[in-house]
Amino acid sequence: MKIQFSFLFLSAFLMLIITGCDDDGDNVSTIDDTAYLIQVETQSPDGDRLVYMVVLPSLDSAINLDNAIEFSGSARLRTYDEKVYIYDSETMEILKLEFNENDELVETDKFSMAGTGATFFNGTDAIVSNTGAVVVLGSIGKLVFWSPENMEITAILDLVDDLGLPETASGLTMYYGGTDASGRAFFSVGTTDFTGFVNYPGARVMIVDPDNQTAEIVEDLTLSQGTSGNLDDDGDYYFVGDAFFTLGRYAIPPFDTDFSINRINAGTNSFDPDFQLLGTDINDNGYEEIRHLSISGDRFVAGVIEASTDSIATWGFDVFSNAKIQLYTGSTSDWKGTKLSGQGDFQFLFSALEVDGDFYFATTDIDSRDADDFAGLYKVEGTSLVKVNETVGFIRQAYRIR
Amino acid sequence: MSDSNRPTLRISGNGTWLDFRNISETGRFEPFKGDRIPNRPYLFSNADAGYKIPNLLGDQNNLQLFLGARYVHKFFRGWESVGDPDRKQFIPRQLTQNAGLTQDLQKNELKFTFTLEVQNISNAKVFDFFGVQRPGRNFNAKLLMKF
Repeated sequence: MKIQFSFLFLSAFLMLIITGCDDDGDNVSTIDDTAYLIQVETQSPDGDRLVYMVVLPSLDSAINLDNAIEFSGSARLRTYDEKVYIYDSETMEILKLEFNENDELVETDKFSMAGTGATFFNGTDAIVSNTGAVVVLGSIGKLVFWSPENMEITAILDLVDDLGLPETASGLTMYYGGTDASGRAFFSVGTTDFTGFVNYPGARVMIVDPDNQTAEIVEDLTLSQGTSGNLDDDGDYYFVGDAFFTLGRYAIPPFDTDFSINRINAGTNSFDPDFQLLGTDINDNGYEEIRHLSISGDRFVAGVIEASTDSIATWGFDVFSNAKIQLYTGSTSDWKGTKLSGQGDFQFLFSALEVDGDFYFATTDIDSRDADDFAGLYKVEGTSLVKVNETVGFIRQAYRIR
Repeated sequence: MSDSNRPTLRISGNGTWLDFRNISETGRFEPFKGDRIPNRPYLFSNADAGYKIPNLLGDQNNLQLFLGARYVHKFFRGWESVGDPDRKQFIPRQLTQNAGLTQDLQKNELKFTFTLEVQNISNAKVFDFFGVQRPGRNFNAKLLMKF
């Protein structure tokens, strides 16, 4: 018998016996009396996104990611009653994290969304009480109610079968806009799927009551899809209607009057026929596309995509490639917006936040694709924008936990 | 008896270690300078062993038994310098084995080769380069006919 040995077999077998210990610890972060949650996103060269959750004693505290928990880029965070809930549509799990006796935020429970139709990147969610929460799976037209207390699914509603919407109602995008005092969560309803084609024209707001596991749709077919919204302190829901997609995927000038802000008055389930603001009502230059409208007291802030005539003559999503985001503030008494001073030309706007009565923007500079890619958390002080925090990657969200 | 008619044991293998790191000094990846490029295996190897029994069922009808193993070391999905090391997303280390046999059968001008193989014998969870899951234990049969 002849024995033949090929090169490197010894090293190969040595490597095969390599073993590693892959322990999963649960120690995360410690806090002081007040705690804020910051969500940071990083990207890898292949485009994969990961997010990191950091607990800070104040929003301007230095962000140290050394102890941050890492999640997939599709993870969405919500906080309620000093607890943190993470809906990760990649793993199809909802995790609960609570502070332990050492003020460390640790995972205490989780459940699976498998079998509900949840898939990567197709949901948004709201939590209105310790017993009432919902994940809206707009792309498949389902509402999944679940209990934060018991961490289990309690009911599933179908937009078509249970709410009577047409078959084309599946494939919608949803934008969570806030929760009123009675625990109703408001969602602006987009009319398009991710391909950008209109499949359900007309503006809707979906009002969901997670505690009672019911939902209703407010329709106004004279408007186009909804892209953003927010409740004021009185419970009025302000809704940004966007006519962009009613023109198909072509953006045809004049682009700056294609959106409007509309209102559903507190306690009613219909659009206020006497309230509609066009871009030119708000600013002499007109808002183009509003992103992330946020309201607190008698003030509002909004991020606005501004595009030159040259850039809007391009097609589809490319319309934004030459655009920049500018940030405005103003009073809801007259809705006249003032462009904030101290801002650059922003490329991405992840969120407009109201924290403790103050407004913040999580955004990044238009130059970030080339250099100095430091995301910023910016605070609105009067009519100025002041950077209060930054880190490696992008800051996506900030929450007050306690 | 010629060498080709003797039973033959063959062992082969290879190992790879890559030190593929981020060297960006500007831009969005600069803060992670020195980190391994995420989501790519950097230590992996495979080994194979085969035993050939010539002329088992007649002249030129050889039987080959083979065993193989593949190892991929754990690697991080994101930048290794960011986040709590105990709570990072990673692709776990993977060790899989496969085994099978190939029998040659020749009759007149026709030549058949049957192969039976089981891959991922231990039914381990295995993933592709970018975290895409690969099959568990699976059985394969192949028939090759030459004429």
